[in-house]
Amino acid sequence: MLVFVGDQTSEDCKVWRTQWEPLFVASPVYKKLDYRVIYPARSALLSKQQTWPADLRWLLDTFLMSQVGVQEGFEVPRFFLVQNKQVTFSTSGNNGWREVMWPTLQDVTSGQPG
Amino acid sequence: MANDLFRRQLASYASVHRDWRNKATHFVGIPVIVFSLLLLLSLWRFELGDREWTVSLAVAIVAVLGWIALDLGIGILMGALMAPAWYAADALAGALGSPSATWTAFTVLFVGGWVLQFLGHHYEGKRPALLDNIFQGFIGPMFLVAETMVVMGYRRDLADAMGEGDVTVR
Repeated sequence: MLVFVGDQTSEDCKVWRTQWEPLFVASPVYKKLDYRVIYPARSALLSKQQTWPADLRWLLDTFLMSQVGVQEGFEVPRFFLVQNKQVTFSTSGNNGWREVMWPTLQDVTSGQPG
Repeated sequence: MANDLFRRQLASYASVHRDWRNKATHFVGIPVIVFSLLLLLSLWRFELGDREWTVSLAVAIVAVLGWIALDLGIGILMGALMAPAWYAADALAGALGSPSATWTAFTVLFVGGWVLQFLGHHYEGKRPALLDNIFQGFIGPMFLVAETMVVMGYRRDLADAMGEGDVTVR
């Protein structure tokens, strides 16, 4: 599962949603993943449980308790790769997406049927 | 007034203190633990500037300064709470009369406080934040004051950091 976390006031998130997300959704990788979006109106809502679907609230708490969460907070856009209900990889920013997360997703899904 | 470090630490702390029972046990357990530490540290004294100081007062002052550095408003309130706590701990240590009695009182309070903490985390279903990040032990007392202020309708910024309050989009 890939989880995108952003907020509607962030310019970087707008770039992701208008430029990178369409490319991702059109790719074969998208068909092999469960893709979830957390995209509230403002950044302050990101840390509220109600913003997150019930089945992903563990991810919010896990992130807030993590070293990255404590040191960086919610730098958006942030991406979580979740496998077997564990965060196996996380990165932030459009550069993080392009240079790290996207290649990782291609690797992870390369052996999976479409 | 709060700096980003405090907001992030508070968010992290709040993420493992969402259950009301856990919060309730912390509202008792943390003050008891802090008081027990002040009580124990009252045993040691040193001289500075023609005045005798207790280690408990020195530690309390450093702690309050640290809390003020993280958040001015919360830190000042912490100072207002720590002053009588230090005074009471110092007085109790004097009334107990002997180091062994003070150690006994400390042990009872400290262990009792932690039993309450772990009981709360049993309800929460998550381990104490302190076990993952020692700095969270410094944030715990601030969380109680922050939570109180948020419940009283102050410090919307801290409510946001703790993920509390409504989710009405502004």
